[in-house]
Amino acid sequence: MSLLEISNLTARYGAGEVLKGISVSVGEGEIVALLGANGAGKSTTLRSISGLVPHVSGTISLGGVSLLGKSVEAIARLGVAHVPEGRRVFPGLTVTENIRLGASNRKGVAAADLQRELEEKFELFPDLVRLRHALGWTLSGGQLQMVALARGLMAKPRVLLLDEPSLGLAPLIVQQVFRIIAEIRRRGTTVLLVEQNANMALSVADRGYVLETGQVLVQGKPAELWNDPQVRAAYLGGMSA
Amino acid sequence: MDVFLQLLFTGLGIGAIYALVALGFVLLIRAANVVNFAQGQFAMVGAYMLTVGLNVLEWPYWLSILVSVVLMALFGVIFAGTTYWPLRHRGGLPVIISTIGASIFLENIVLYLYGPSPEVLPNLFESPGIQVGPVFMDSQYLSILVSATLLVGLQYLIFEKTLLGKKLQATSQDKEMASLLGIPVALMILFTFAYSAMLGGVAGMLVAPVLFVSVGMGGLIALKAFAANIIGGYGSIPGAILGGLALGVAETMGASYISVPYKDAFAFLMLLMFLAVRPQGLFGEKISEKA
Amino acid sequence: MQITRRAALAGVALAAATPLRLARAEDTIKVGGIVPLTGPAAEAGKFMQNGAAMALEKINAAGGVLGKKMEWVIEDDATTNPGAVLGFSRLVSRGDCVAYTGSIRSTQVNAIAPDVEKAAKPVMFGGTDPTLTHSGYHWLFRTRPNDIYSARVLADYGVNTLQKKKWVVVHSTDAFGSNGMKALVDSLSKLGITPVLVQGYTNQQTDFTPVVLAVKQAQPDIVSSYFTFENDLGIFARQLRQLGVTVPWVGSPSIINTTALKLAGPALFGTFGVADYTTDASPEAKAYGDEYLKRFKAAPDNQSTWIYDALTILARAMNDAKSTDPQAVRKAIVAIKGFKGTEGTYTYDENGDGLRGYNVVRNEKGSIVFDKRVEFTD
Ligand SMILES: Nc1ncnc2c1ncn2[C@@H]1O[C@H](COP(=O)(O)OP(=O)(O)OP(=O)(O)O)[C@@H](O)[C@H]1O
Ligand SMILES: [Mg+2]
Repeated sequence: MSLLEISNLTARYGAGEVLKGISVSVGEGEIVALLGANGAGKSTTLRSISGLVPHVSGTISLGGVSLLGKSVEAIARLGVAHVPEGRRVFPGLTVTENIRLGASNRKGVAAADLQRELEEKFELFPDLVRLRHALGWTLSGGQLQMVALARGLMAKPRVLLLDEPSLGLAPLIVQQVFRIIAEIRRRGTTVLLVEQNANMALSVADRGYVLETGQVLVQGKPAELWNDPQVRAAYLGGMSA
Repeated sequence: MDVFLQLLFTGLGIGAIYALVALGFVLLIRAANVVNFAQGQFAMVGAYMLTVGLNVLEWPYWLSILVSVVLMALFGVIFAGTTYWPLRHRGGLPVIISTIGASIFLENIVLYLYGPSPEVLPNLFESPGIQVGPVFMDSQYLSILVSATLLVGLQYLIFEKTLLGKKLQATSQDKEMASLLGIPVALMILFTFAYSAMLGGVAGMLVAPVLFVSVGMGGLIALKAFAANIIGGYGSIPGAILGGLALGVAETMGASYISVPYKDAFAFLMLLMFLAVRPQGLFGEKISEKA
Repeated sequence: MQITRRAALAGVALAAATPLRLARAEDTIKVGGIVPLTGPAAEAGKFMQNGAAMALEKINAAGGVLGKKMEWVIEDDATTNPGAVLGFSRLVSRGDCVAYTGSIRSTQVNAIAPDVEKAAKPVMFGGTDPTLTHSGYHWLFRTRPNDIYSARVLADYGVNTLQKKKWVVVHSTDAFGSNGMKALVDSLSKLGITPVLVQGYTNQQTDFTPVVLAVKQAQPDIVSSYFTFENDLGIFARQLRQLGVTVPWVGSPSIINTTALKLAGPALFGTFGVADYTTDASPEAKAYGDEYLKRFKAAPDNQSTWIYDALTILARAMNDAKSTDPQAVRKAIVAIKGFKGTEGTYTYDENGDGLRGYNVVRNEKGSIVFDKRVEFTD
């Protein structure tokens, strides 16, 4: 059984169903990419896992423990770290404070250990070192994304949910972000990655799912998805690399 | 010059009270997006608690204050549970109306429980005050200034120097994100209510020996505290403090040098001027600049 | 048989009950009153109800009005002008009141005055603003001396008895305070004195330092005051003493009322006030004061005496007129001469004023001591 197991998940905010029974599984140590057009339900899938969607049914379990019906904070404490769309870095707090708060889901960790982990994050994101004391609202898009990633990692998550980490970033920065994702994976963190940029996503992912209007269209290893003509035409087209 | 110094002293003293009430007001705006129209009544309730401790139970001053402060924090939690919590998903207006209702309810329940008779409380320190050169410093005004400074300092330490403070700030800036990080948002909001009620209550306790204790005392202060908020910058913490002090000094000076009967008008003239010329107040809010 | 007996019993019961019930429905002569049950004067409202209760008891024990008991039905005025107007209109729309009582606060009497004229029934009130009885209103009757007299007594006492010449006048800018101030400035000018400072303030202040400093800078040898609310008076009194102004102080009646004494404490020691009601001023005042003290364990003040006299005079006028017809009652009130009430000896004029004098009193370490009664004939 995989670490994160989603089966037959339906979700809605108001009247219409946004997810219509999707099943996704993420194994320990895997990076799984969730692809699809705008509005397909990728973010909603992540939000359902985190407990942010008001009406969900089906099953979501992490290491055999059901997440359904648990509060957002309880889910975070179980080891789900969500780096949402738009980064959501606290504008009035400094970079250090933002990252430090990432560990809010963990209890009884010695301050010295947290300090050490914090320093590790700055090693992972050396660009942030000189911005330690900069307030959130002063940062650029790429810097915000790095803070958001570092903050997510401070949770020591069992699974890290990343929602479009490359959105709005310059190509060079996108590559940098994906290098870090690869590094995160190398260190053993499980990642569920939502991306528009299928090329980049599939380059780091072990497996991928393509969503279309709230349903799983196809799934498989990157190579299989590359070769699926339907997917290629719809989502991976325009690929030049 | 003598007159100026005397006015400055009392202006700062009364301004510190406006500032404390304004501070509680701002914290709730930031943490819970609640515009609390019962903030002045928090002061009134605090003053009555102190009155019961001092005049009815005849406890010593320090014990009466201590118990009142603890009860005010509890009162804040109850207030949150009844006035805010049931309506928290309904947006601003229902909660505003609910706090207005609470302010009326509080005045009437105190009137019912305690009766309409206004009360006199002794100064915190027995001495009526000290003469410093040309300025007579009422000991209660000194208590107000010192306590307000300590409270602002304490608040600075809590909010800026502790993890709890950072979590409170995170909650006030982005509740959903805070909960995604595992910060207990509901607890943070309850804490803010408790703290804000405590601030309002302390303001009431401090000002009680000066203004006397009456059911209507809260409304008087809250109006000025609200103006202080706009002048200082809506939702700004340093703005609330400086806005309160500025208002206290300005209205006292204005009354003395221009016209006493228009004293209250100065407060609102200042408010209108700021709204027209500098609507972001003394301290434009840094969060409003977020992209 | 059983049925008939039961029916008979029921018939007897009905026969007995019917006249009784009819009698009860018309039993009382109703006087409507607005009372500050809430708002800053809620405390005074309580005193007022005490006085009314004593008056009704006495009136009804003495046979009531026209053989019926007198009843006082009340509405809250919330200590505001709109509240007073609303309360009064509620009373009028009841339709069963033969007369009314208003407020001890002039601004509220002023607010209801147009409606009083429309209601066209006698309204007793306690506000001391002179204009209330000098604006052509037909139905307003005062049971306290008006401020022309308080001002005359204040001026007379300060200038002739205390021998003070440099006057400062501090007053609320509401109707009560401004009219009091005008009357005092008038009276002083008749005695050849122009105040060195006339200082107004708006009600419900948090701080009086600017006022006190202005007073201090004027270097008066006497301070006089017209305050409306006791908490304002209390704050002012304390700050005045703190900032070192110790000259004699003569004040309008609020300076000696119970709440003000409690709030200001030692800050008011040694001040002089004019009081429309003082326990030691007359046997009637003494008798009332003793009983009030016994019943309510508190010293009485004008907040209760004015309504006591108001209800007593209404009862007397209706009995004199042998009718509750408004015009007849009005005539009977105007005809009252030399009636000894708790506030003084009433002789009404066409304007609606019955009293023309005040007691000068002194605050002796917190207790109010009668000094002398000053009466005018004009
Ligand atoms: N808070 C919400 N309330 C109501 N409907 C929502 C909400 N969030 C998303 N939706 C709807 O749910 C559907 C799926 O949205 P979702 O954000 O999951 O798409 P997505 O795949 O992440 O798209 P994108 O690539 O544009 O981010 C959309 O039709 C959207 O309008
Ligand atoms: Mg999305």
